[in-house]
Amino acid sequence: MDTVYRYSRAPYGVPEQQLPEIRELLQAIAKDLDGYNNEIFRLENQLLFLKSQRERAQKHEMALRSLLSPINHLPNELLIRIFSCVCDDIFMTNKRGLLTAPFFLSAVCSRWRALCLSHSKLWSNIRFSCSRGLKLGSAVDLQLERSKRQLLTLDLSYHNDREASTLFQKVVDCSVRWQHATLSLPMLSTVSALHGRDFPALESLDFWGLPDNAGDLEVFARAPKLRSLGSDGVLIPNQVVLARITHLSYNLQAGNLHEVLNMCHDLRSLSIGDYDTFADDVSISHAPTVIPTLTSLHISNTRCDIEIFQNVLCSLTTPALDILALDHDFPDYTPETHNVIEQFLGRSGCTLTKLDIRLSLNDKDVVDLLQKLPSLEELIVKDLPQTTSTLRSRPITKAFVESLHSYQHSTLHQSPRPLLPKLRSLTLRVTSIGFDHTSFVDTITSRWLPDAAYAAKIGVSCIRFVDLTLEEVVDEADYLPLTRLKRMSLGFYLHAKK
Amino acid sequence: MFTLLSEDGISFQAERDVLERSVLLKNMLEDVQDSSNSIPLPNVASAVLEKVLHFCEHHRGDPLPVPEEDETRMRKIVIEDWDYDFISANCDIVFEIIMAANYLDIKDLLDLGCKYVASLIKGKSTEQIRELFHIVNDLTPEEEEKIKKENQWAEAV
Repeated sequence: MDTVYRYSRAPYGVPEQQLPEIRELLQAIAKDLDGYNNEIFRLENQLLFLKSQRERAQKHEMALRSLLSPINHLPNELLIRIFSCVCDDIFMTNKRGLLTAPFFLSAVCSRWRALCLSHSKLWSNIRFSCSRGLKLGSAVDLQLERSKRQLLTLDLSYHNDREASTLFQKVVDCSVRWQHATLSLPMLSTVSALHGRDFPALESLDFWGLPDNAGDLEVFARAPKLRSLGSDGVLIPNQVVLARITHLSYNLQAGNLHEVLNMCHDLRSLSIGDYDTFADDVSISHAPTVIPTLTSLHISNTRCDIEIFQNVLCSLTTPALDILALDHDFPDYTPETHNVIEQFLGRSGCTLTKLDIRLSLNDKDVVDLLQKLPSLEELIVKDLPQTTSTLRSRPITKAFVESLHSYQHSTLHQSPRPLLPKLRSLTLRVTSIGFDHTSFVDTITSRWLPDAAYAAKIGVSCIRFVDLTLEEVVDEADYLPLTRLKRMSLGFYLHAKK
Repeated sequence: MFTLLSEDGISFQAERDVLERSVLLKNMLEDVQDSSNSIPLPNVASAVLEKVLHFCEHHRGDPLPVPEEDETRMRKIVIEDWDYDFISANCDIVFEIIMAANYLDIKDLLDLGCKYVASLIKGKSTEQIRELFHIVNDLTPEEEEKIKKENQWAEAV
């Protein structure tokens, strides 16, 4: 480089005699450059080769890992069990509205594909939500074909569209295979498509979004196994169909609840809600309907008047009731609610094992009710949302918690006998601030009686499950005793603000 | 108290009502009068047996699942809080737990393990499932083409 620099700065240019030397230097450099290019090319080839070798090794590693993968060691019957859990979840759909699980599972590898295709049950959950422009026909055809003769679980949401109509017709044509059906059918024409069909295997049916007076149960007169029925609309009662029903979910505001109930001769479970379908209030002034077979009653009213809610309880007598769940959003305290429940329990003379309440009751009301339920094993009490109303009721207070202590008295419970001696599960949802953590921990600890002989001696069952939800920040140190019991297998769950 | 011997030779002690959560052990205990002899479990490693016994201990006294209700029980996807904590804390050996529950015939633990694995699969695409479980795509090009056609509707959102 020094020579080049010297020649380029020479005042008379490059001397003529130096030109051959420069040419020689240039030739030498060109040779070097060729050498470098060849070496780079060789190295690049080697790099490519190494990269492809690495890729092969990675694939080989994956294949080897796959052989070691624990899921590949499961026998077919266990894999199928897992696949069934995945495919049974009818609520899992893709954005296009059809259950995707069996399609995706059968595309993973050859073993999974063979298993999925040979187990028709995996294809028997059919869910689609038809709206304009969806092309689900081939997928539904595949499901119907691959489910072979399996009974079907359907969840169909129908809209007025030619594509939807074709899909619905495909499914209706398989009515003999319907086992569980949830149908959202806002069009009268779709309901009429069900007329004259046989449903020999249909066990449960839920109708949603029915137009007025479209739910004529006579359509299901040829469904001899139908036991569970739900609707948010007005059903036109049918003696034959309702006589078979054991589980009923019905809209309080449909107006013909008692007409329907009087036809249900074998009702075990009744869920009454208001689905806001009908604008008119329905007041029930009815002599109590006795349902001798009913074991589970759930009344959930979030919109209708508290008096209607109370009227429903006043209109029922259920001597065999085991589970009672009452839920109403009305926030202000009304003593009538307690009186109505007390009368209902007294009139029914039932032996409840589970009570779930979310009502405008105060602590004294709740303890008073619990004193009449010595057989209760599971208790769920939820506060209503906080309001500024001075009439707001608070069922979960320090006195209430202390009343559940296994051997100490409280201001609300003076009896020497413990309240709820058979209690094994307690769930509290507290919305008010200032919860007494110490009392709660003391109460739960007093009920932790893992020694069965000792528990029998003092007549209190060992509590096994506690779930507490608070709307305030909690010092975890306050709950250390219960955390320790959790290690000894008490199911203890605390949900608090962070 | 009865003694169980894991495949790696570790002893575990448990009471009869805990062991009777397992149909296999229940049947074995009917024939065993003398509790001084340990029961060998050649298919269950100590790390897994410890977890299985913890589960049985927690569910001691719970009603045993009725075989006829198998299908209904399996359809309930909800996992109880304690069970969920238990299985997710042991997710690294969930397949071993499933195999042990199957061998020992503990239906509720088998359900729990299967439901947990199912919950891992749910919502995942085929490729994500392969990655999750280290499964190699061994489908032939013809099978792949067929699957692509079948699943076209699901892939395009």
